[in-house]
Amino acid sequence: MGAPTLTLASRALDLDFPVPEPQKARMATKSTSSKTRSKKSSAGRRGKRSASKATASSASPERRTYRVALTGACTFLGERFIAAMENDPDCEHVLAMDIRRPSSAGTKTRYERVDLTHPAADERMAMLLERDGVDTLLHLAFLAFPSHASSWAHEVEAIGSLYVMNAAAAAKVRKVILASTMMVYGAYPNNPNYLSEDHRLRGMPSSRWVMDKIAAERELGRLKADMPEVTTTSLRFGITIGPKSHSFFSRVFSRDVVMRLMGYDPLMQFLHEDDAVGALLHAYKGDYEGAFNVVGDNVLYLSDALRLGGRVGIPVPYSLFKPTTTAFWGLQVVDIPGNFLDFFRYAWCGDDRRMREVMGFTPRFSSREALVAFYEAKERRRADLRSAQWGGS
Amino acid sequence: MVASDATELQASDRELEPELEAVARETVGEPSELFESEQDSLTIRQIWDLVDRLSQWPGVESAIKAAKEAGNDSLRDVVRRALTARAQRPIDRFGFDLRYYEELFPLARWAHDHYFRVETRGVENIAEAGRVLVVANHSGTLPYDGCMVHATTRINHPQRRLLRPLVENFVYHMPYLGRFMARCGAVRACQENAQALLEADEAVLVFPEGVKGIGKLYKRRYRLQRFGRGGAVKLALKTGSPIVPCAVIGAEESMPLLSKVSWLARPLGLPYIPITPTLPLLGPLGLLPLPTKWWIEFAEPIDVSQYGPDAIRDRVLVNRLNEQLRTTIQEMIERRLDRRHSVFLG
Repeated sequence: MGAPTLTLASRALDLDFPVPEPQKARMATKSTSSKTRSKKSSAGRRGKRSASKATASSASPERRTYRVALTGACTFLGERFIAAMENDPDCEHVLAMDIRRPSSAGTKTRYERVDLTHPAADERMAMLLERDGVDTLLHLAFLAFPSHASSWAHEVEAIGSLYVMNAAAAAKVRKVILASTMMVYGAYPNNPNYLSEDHRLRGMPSSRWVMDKIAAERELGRLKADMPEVTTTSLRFGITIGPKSHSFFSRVFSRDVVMRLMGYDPLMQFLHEDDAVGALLHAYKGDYEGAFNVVGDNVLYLSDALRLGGRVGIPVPYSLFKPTTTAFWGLQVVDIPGNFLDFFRYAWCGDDRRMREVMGFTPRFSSREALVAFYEAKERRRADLRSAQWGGS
Repeated sequence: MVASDATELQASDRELEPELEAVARETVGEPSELFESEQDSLTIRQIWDLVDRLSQWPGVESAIKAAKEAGNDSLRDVVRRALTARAQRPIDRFGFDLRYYEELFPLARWAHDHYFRVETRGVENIAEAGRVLVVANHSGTLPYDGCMVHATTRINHPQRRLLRPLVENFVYHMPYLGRFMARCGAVRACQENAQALLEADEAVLVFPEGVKGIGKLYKRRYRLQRFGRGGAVKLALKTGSPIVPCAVIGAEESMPLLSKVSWLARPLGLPYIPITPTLPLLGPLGLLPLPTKWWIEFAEPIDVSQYGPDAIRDRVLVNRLNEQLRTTIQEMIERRLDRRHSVFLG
């Protein structure tokens, strides 16, 4: 009973806590023990760094070590990425930026509280990036669910991306990786069955959540235009689904009874969460310029995707479904905006050729396998709950 | 066997009971109130006996078996298994469900053989393998012609090739109809999709006239409309695939389009609402075409690979090839029309 209240309290404290001014304020507020610790660690870091430089120049010139920073460290991708970095001998240091401490952080990871909605977030990030000598920056701070607080979401995602790119430019980071989504293409009736990366990013003008993702892509493009020497990679993930991650789409597919559009049955792609992490690690290891659709193999009809999990779909005509959903979204009764129905109406699958040929990444799970893994995990969790409830009968 | 054993045992039990009671009285004394009440309730053996007797009743045995099976799974799982059976069907990249298609094909075959009595010539002009673009004239208000061109190659081609028809946007996204067509192998018409299909060495069927062709009035029958902006030719040039011109004769009369209503169509997302002799009059029955006699003819393939993929930028060449294609099909139609005596009998 104590744990939830504790986290709540700490979160509230986190939110109320003002973002400290770059250096002095932090030093002043921190206790002496933490000061010495940070000093020690920075000294150790410097020593290690020079040592690694020496080995890099003498023994194996092709072996490169990384110093990586990431925003949105508490997102699913962030947590998993940090966990992978903790076990990666090539990675020297991880700078995790978020408003909460990532649970997977270990000895290599240094957590810094950065609130992207803060007006001086870019300055603080630039200072942190320079201080830690970061060469690769991962921008993962995106919301997994459409938010009712759309102007706050806009600040986090669109303006936050602006700050992140500002900081990357100021700190002269070598590479920036953006975790984007396939939703930036939008679901339109005149989409080709497989969207290639150079297709126009139409998004969904009525949805700020989608348009903010496009704004982030635009900020990345602007960074590239200003500083051509920076490698910018944008990974457009398809519907990421799996046993551990939570997102808008996984929530839709977790329900036993799903309302679906009458007569519409688009083809859909699914990406296993492990493959999403794998693609991120792959993009981090090599240098790949430009945008990549990261999607699973094969396609499924939406109805088959629901059927695969034994979900019961109730067909509702679009003309009835959309206004009611829009109204209920406005009243904050449902968690799907009315305009999102288009994502279940028209296909928005991605062409994975560039991912396979240029990036050389192949997902381990096909769309169907990803979906089955997701459903099986759901079923197992449900069985566990049931046995816990009924004492194993 | 078990039941009889049990009854025997019980019988012997009952025989022994007075003796046992006597022994009990000797050792313990008179039965207390507590023990007396046990006399009325069933012993374990009696319960088993009851169950065995019950299981011999008709139907109970199978019910028990079913209950045992269901006992392993909850009802949810049973429902899920029934539902997932269909989701296991494999589909291709564009949603073509071969098994679904095979189930429905007999209907198309019947229409091909007995309803329209299609006569096919030159189907061997479609190569046995490799990419090919079949270009046909479009007519008949509803796209029955696409279905028949597809069916005739499926039936008459030596390799039983599957033509992948490209369908108009509004048809592909029409509720239920679009889903049905996609499952049967149709693909939404656009350059990217067609290119992907041809690069996978598929046979693609296009109607470059589009809505203009299928929606031309009866008085303008068999007069080919403009072939778009040369999209089909560009596609063939880009992918280096041979073009096979195809003429469909007879579809125009199967649903003669007398008039079009466009003001009512726009809110419904349709290009027009057709008025045929039967359509609004007979309701859904009006969707059935008239049983006219059809011919489907394929001409020699036109090889465009000599121009190379860069030729798509040569607009004059594209237009010339496009026009050439159109006249080829127009001539094929004229030739067949000259020899035709009757619309319904051929």
